[in-house]
Amino acid sequence: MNHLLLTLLMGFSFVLFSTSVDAQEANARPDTTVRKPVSFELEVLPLLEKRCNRCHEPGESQSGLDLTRVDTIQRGGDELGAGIVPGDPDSSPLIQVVTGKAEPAMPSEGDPLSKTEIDLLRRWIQEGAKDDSQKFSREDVYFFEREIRPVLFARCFKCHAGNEAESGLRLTSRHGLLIGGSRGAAALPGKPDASLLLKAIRHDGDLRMPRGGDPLSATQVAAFTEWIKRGLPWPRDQAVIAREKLFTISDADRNHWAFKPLPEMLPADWSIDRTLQKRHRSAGLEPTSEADRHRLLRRVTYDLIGYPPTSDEIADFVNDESSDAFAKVVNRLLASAQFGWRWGRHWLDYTRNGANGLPNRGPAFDSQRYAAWVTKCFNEDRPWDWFAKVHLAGDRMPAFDGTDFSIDQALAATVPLNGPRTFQEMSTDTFVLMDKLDESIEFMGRSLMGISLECARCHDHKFDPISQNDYYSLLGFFQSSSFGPVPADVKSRAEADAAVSKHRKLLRQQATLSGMIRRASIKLNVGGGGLTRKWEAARQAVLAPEEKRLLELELEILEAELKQAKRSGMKRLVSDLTETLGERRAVLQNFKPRHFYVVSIKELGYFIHGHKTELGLIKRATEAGLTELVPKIQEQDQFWLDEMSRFRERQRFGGYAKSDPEAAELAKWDDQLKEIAAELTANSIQPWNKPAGNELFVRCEGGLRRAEELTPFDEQAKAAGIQFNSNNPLRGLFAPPYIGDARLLERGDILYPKQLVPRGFPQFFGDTQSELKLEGSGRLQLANWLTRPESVQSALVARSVVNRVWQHLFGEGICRTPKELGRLGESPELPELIDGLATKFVQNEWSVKSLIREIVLSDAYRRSSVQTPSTAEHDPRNRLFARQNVRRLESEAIMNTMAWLRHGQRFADPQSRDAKLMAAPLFHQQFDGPTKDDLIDRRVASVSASQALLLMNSTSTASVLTSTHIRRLSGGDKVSLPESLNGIYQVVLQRPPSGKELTFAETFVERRRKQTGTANPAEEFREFVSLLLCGNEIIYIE
Amino acid sequence: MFNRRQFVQFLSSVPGIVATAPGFSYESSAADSKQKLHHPGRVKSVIFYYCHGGPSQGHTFDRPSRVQDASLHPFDFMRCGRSGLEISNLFPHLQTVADDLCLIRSGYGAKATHSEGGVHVFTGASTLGASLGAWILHGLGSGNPSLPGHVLLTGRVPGDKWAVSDGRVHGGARSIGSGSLPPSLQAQVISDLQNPIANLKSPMADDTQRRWLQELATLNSHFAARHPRVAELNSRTESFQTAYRMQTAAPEAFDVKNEIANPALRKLYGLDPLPTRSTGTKLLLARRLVERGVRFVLVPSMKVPSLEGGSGDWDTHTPTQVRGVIPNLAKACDQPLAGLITDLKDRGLFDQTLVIWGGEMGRGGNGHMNHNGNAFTWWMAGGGVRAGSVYGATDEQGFTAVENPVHVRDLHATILWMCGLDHRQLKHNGVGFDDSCKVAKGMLA
Repeated sequence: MNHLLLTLLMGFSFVLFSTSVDAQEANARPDTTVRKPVSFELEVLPLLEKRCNRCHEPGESQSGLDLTRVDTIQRGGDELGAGIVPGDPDSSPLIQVVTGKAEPAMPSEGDPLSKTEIDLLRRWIQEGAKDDSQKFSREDVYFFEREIRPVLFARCFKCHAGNEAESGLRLTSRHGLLIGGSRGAAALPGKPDASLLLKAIRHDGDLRMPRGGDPLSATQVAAFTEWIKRGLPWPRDQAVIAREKLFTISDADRNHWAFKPLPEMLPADWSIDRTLQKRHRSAGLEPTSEADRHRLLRRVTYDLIGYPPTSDEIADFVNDESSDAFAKVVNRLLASAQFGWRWGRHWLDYTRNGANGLPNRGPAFDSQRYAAWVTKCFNEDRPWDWFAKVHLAGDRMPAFDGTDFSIDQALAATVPLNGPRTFQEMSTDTFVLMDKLDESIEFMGRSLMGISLECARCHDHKFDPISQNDYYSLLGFFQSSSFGPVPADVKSRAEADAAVSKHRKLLRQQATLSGMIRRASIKLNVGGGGLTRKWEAARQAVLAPEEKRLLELELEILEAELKQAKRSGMKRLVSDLTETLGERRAVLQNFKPRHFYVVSIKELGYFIHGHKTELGLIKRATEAGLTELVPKIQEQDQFWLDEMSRFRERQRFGGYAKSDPEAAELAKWDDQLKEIAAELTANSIQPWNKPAGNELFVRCEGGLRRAEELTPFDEQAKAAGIQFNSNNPLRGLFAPPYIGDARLLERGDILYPKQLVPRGFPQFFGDTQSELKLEGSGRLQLANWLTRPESVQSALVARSVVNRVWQHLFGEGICRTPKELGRLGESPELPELIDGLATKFVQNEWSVKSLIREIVLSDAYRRSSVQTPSTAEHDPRNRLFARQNVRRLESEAIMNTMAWLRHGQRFADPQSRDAKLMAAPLFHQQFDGPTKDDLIDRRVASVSASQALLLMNSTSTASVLTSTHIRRLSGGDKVSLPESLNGIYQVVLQRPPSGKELTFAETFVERRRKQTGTANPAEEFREFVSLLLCGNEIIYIE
Repeated sequence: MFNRRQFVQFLSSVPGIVATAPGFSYESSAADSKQKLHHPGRVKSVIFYYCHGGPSQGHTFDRPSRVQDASLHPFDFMRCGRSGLEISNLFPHLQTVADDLCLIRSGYGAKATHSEGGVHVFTGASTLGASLGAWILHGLGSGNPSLPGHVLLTGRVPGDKWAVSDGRVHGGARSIGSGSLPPSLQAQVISDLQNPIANLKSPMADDTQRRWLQELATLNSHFAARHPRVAELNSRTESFQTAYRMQTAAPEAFDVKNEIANPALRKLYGLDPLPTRSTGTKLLLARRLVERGVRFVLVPSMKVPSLEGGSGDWDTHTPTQVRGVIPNLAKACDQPLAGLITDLKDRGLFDQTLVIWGGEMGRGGNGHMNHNGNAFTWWMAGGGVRAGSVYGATDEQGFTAVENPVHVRDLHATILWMCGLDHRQLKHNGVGFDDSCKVAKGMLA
């Protein structure tokens, strides 16, 4: 029997191959000359599985038809009786339905079967519809059920099942194993040692399965060996044991460093340095010594407030002999107003918030207000768990000061929506809304938890224990929420909710009325036999002479332009204008009246008064010196503007004027619409426009609608007697706000909505839905869940924060993928350091300032960045932090430095700094300022020639900076360069110059004098400072 | 005094300054980012003529075999060249170079809205949101350290009153951006053809500046001596030399004065007739830039006047726009593109340059007047593509790509492939392309 199967396998190598390539290629393949009998198990069943058995499997068995076994095929279904007539394909209902000869034509979804596929079925029936699937003893099947099936489910079906099985290999059926995947057959019956499956589970070779997680146990491997030896026994009544991938959570998931709860207790003497010391010793690393005081002060000042230290601060610290001198500095910096801006900006990088709060395409987001609030939170050291919660449910939480509501918190809760994807047409294009919601999930995962939740939109997460179901259970929270305009000075949540409700009520009324007008207008227009067009046609007689007049005006201007060009001798222009003039004259000569539409009138308007880069006639006339013509053209302009409103009016009122008695009802509705428009403060169709007055778009309850469903609302509208244009953006707003669950979307595609998924939390984290009593959207519960003490999810939040804080203080995180702590990210060398810091962080009530203080006061932070032979040899990439890193300043710190050198002050906020620094946008652009398009976990430090051009040549940078404030600060006004060098270095690099540098300055002066032939101390000073400003040290922290 | 070459050699000998390596890579944070090709690839530069608004394939390069309303398809097609490619008579010049074109008729997977569509068509394959140009520059490295490697040319030549707007790209900065790749990879936008790059003029006299650069190198060498293993310190010193070279190289590269005075080139690119003047000049400039090693030049179409009044771009929604705007849009690019292809061949650059024509989506529906993401036509010419061929096909009405459908993402992967780059290996911090990208081998030479 085994022998027969092997022959079959070889004989059908063509078939095996063709199943793994795409159907078209298979079609093109020439027929084999000698035909073997068709195999049910290896050819027919796979085909039926692929095309028919989503519906016709034993569980579903639509119309009573089960196409997984020969006997059930022969038995047939409820409607057409026996499925096949062996030996007679043409009389077999199976063939008849797939060829369209009998109803119902099949398959009901997707393309018809190809000719090759139909031919295969025909041949099989022709040959007698033999069942070649192997029969196994009850004992063998029992062995499979006991030893193999559970392992397949637990360890294999996460990937090797369903439509898009990994490598095309499905382990869910016997034929799946025999046909195999892209590497060929997975198992050869009776030959365990030659079977790929066994090699993979034995980890013999490069393919090691199961991927991720522990290998199978020796007993399990032995069972698989035995199973293959027995010829792959399989239950006869269940050809396919699973049809979808199966989400499973493995021990490897539970044991991943970031997915474990935090340690409950830390040793009493736990410290950063002790933790590092252990690792340094075992690696044979000798850490570098403490940095010198000047460089240490410069480092900590930049790191904590983003500015260089002042001369006084340097003197204070350098001369402070007390043991807590450094701690005093750190406390001073932590209390500084700039601290919040500096560290707030680090957070803003994770909120898709560009340099100056550049607006996204909605909802109009008051970035500056948000940034100021973030700064305040950092300066007041508000606990991080609270801060994280606010970004999910700030509108549902009491204010930090204990009052009922905070508009800033409600604003912060819109941050998940603050992304690059557009809100354009969100109410009519379902995918737009879905993409925005996806951004929210991405924000929650990446920015708050440090994991990639968004990967599970289309399929179960390939690496982390997040299923597609989990994704949609989270999506429901966001889908049940939206944004709405609220006055900034609102006092309570009730007021805020009322403002949103009122806005929505107005929107609904607006949508209803405009739908009613449309329906009535169509009726009027059609009733009058196309009244609008008739009216437009009648206007031709009036409009033709006007258009002619406009043409004459244009000709006059062209002639004047031509004359001007001739005078100034612009030959090419002359020939062009002559050409155009000829063309336009011809048009005038053969003038024909035309049928106007709103669009064509609008374009005439552009032609007259200009539009974007189009130069209008009015401007052209002025430039050509024909000022006397301007009033005439303006008259024309007004005429066409009025005409456009007349056209619009006729369109709106079904071909009538608004004042016509036939349109009386429509006119009434139209007036009501005007009243509503006057009352509406925010534009929800174009939400990227800021609401009027002092209103802000903030988070609110009730989503626009379920992302994937629009049609039901069209039907509701129809039932209510109103009608929308299919692209009327108002139509989506007709629906009432949605609070409920999200639908799972197959492959994340809104075109394939599946079952509703109850809102809840990912299964891995162990909270069951049943505990959940949701209020409204449930976002508040989501927020509470995220930071629940001692949970794995709150451990992720804490780990993300400590890792990022470390990154900002060392230039590298302990884990270098700070928005991916999951298994796809880097495994950190020092997970125990993250865990220790995170545990302490939570113990200190999530205080960011305490965390920073803890790190900055460690020896590790204070070490020199100069490599020693030991650090270079044992840890060249500095993964164990036996030294500090040399890092380039971020664009903000560079701008701070330049502004400080120019004006001698630290600015209250970035806006006032930029007002004083002309080149701010250029610095932002050239020195890798943040973008608003992405959640930024790492600032690039690019090096480019355009940076050099900016510093070297731009009038707004180096040359200006050198001439003013530095001179005063450094006392370099009158003395020679070498004498003022100390002052210059103090101001620009915050340290005294070395002997070598003093020599360099002296020889610099010599070389300059030699070249210019004169001594000019002022110029020498200026040029030397420009060197320091363009040099490397000023923009690097050592 | 020494000349410039001697000066550069001298600078290179100063301690702490690394000599400019022959294959100078793009200016990035990693000093050792010298790139290696994944496989031999011919294409060294790409010139992309972008049709703003989503051009109708049915009126240009993909004649539908069945139309609902013949009056909405007023333009005849002709089989051209030995290859017999069917091209609309709106493109008489391109018809003469048909044997150099590869018409890709089975594009799909575009987004049928303009702004998102624009972003998607340029960045859709990259999980980092980086544009195609940025990836090519990242992958190939700079071909000329004295010039930006990724350029967008939008402006009009002075005196062009025919075109109604400058060239524009739907999706704006994101469509030409570097996403999460290093920002130096984003396109340098050149709207003013007279004064293309900022801060090129040094306030210092040339000999002063040379001494100044030398002083800077010495100053930096003190700092670098403390950190001999921090490679980027050297690249930064080097970047000032590059900037210095750019001061003279960039004006030269962007100066088309001499070439546009050449009557043969004027004729070739159509620099005299008004409708082709700006486009011709920009494509001539693009040729100059790729000749000098620039990797990706994007030239977007401009808004043009309509034959029936008004103006428009490739977003042709009405019969009037079809009849009035499409002919002028075609006219604006036809001769310049054919001229570019001929010119590249004359200079032996055709093999290493890829010329692409296409928009952010295709069109469908009656008269091909609606947005359509399921079928669009691009064509490519030059290094890497199978010349005189058609890749894929749409259904009889031209609404859906049915034969060899090629996704927007696949086009990216294929273009990278032609450059010798494998999208599966092209990564930044371990992240690269959408893993569903496939190379359409059938369009490769």
